[in-house]
Amino acid sequence: MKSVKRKTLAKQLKRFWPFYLMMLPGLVYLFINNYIPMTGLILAFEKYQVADGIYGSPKIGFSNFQFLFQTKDAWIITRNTLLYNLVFIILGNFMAIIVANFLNDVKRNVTKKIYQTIILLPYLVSIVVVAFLANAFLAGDTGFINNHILEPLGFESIQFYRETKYWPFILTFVYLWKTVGYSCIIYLASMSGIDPGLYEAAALDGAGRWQRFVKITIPSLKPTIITLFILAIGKIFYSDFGLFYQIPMQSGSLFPVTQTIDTYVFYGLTQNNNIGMSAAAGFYQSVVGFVLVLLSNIMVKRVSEENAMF
Amino acid sequence: MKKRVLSILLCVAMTSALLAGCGGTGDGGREKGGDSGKEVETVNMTYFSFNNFDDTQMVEDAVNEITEEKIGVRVKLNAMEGGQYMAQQTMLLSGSEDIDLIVTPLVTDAMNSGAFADMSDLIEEYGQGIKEVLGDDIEAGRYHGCLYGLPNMHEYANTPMIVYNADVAAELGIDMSSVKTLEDMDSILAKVKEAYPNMSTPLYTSNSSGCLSATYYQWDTLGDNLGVLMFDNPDEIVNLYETDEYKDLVTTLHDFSNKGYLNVDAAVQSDNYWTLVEQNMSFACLINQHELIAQEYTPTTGVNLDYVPLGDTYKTTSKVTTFLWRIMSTSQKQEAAMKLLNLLYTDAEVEDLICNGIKDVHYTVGEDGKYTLPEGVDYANSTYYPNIDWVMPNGWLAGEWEDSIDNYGEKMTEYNDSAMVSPAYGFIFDSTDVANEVTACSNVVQQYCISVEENGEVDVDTALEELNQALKEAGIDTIIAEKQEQYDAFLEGK
Repeated sequence: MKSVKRKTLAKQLKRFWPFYLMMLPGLVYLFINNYIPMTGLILAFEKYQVADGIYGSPKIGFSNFQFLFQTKDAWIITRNTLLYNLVFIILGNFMAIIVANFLNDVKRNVTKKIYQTIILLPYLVSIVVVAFLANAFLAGDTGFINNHILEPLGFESIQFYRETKYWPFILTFVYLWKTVGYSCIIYLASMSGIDPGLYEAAALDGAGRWQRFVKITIPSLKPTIITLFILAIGKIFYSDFGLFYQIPMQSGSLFPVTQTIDTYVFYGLTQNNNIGMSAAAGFYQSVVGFVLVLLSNIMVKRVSEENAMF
Repeated sequence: MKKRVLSILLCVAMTSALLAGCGGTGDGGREKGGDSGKEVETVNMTYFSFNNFDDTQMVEDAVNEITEEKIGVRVKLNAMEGGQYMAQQTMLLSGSEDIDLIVTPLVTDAMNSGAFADMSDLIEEYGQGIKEVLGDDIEAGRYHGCLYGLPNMHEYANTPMIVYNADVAAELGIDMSSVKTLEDMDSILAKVKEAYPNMSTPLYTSNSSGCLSATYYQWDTLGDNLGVLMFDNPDEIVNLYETDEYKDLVTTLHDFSNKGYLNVDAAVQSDNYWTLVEQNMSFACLINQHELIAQEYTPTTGVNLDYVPLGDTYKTTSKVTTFLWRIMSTSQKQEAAMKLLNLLYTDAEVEDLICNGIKDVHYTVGEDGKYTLPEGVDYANSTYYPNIDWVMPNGWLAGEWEDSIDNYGEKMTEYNDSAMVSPAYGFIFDSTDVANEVTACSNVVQQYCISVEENGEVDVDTALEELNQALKEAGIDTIIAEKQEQYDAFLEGK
């Protein structure tokens, strides 16, 4: 990643105008598709009336936001969303790098491809199917864990769908199982870009596998790690809806550990179809996400300037 | 690098815009075909089906021949797949789609946002047939003085009951007619449990989609159980979760749960009773339904089902307004829509076409006048078997199928007329001012109800106390006070 030398816009335009021309349709599309709809965010501050439309409905200030903060649930759902995402970001990237490193060390191409496909497979399975796979393991009366592991060993059976204490682990496990295969592809791609000469030289100098990993692989991956990290931070207020909605199978007793902002909004608003309140929830999440992206970028800038994104 | 970052930020912004619900890229306005001249208006009629409706275009053409001649209106049958309809409902009702006529549940929030046209005058002019068919129940959809919807023809009342497998009862020599209360089931369920130790759910109560108290009740739920009306106390809205009735129900269920009569995984159970009873995984089901339900499901499940009532039959607003036919306020063809609606409530030919398709193509008529699928066709591969007589304005007019109940409409009318009328019949709660509290309380109920109602391991008093504490914090008292105020006004105006 070399930084391009700065030039004035006019000079750039003159020199690269065909490229800018090629970019134009994309920009127009982006403007129409991504910017114009943003004006609809005004819905979050309105009591929507069909006759008055999106822009003419009565303004009611911040009262659409109230339901997000009114109860003690507000704390729980915010905590769950943030902590789960934090764990997912850290463990997810960690596992992805480890797996990518292993895969990268596999020399035979065919074997490598087979491993990679197998690891990727869970990512392609629909979350609804995963929920039933999990259910086959966890069910109280017919589940594999209760029937074939705990019972033969003489332990009491566990009602997983009633006990909150297991779920932070179950959800994290399912998340990693499902996503590691996908995120390791990105790292694998970056790793293949590392000059093999570096490894050879290090090996000649007597560096072991571990040292080569820590001293060569990790530093070379730094820009990728930081990019993915900042990306993930921007989404830290959005939870993986499928994961938190489907895997616990909407069991109410588990809400204290499975309810996130998205599922809370979903449960709450399927009751009354309030457009203003849904808009408010989306608005809140994106604004906080935006601020977090900026903050984490500032943080990265402090630590290592050349790796900051902007 | 820089541009990548920019595009990423734009993505974030776009996601927020999408969540804000202004995508507007639905498939409305896709079809505008059939506008033959200005004088014949084409009404877009939107409804849903969970079965097969591939040949809707063919049916539409046949329907149009009749409607054009009889009322000078053409119709665009906009059938949607059921799941998709449910997911897009908010969007459909936001006024951005080109819809004239639509069927929806009560959706008070859409009524508040002015999505629907007031039919009061239109019905006087074009809806005489509807007035005859619906009688006084026409008023069930009146909200803030406006007639925003018309109930379709279906059961308008329900009875708290136990549906059970009569074959198993006969085999074990159980006399179900002696059952008058839920407690009477104790010894019966014990017998069933003994005879069939592998039966996972001797008494089916609820599944993951909701709590038992939403499907089995002996009170008027007033729509959402947040503030209910006990029939013996017709003036006062009470907090259901603090009543003795609720506590008694919960206590009995806890006892049943400890004895192993209920499903331990009720919270994540996704099958319904009909599926379970078919596989003999369940014996009986606790539910509020109409009296023909057991008979209706006997052919589908292949099990001889019967029922015993546990309480009185009541007609309530929420039952009558299960589905309402509406004219959209954004429609430019409201008069044509009303004419069409009138025809749908009264014309057997049109209703039959939409519900069952075309004779000898989609069904054949037997000697007894009942419909069967043509040879070589089954329910799965039929090109038109929408099964929508329960959604259409007056499905009772449509032809009957071989496995359906004789004279269903007549029997149901009799049942509806025999029901007692809830004192709150006609009352629709406007939750606008307490929307935050309602959202919070629904979440609380969703969280606690299954463990409070069906988990025997928990002590009843502790569980109830916890639930009520959480509801108090979420503001249930505010909801009840608001409901009471509106209800008082309703009683006064009655």
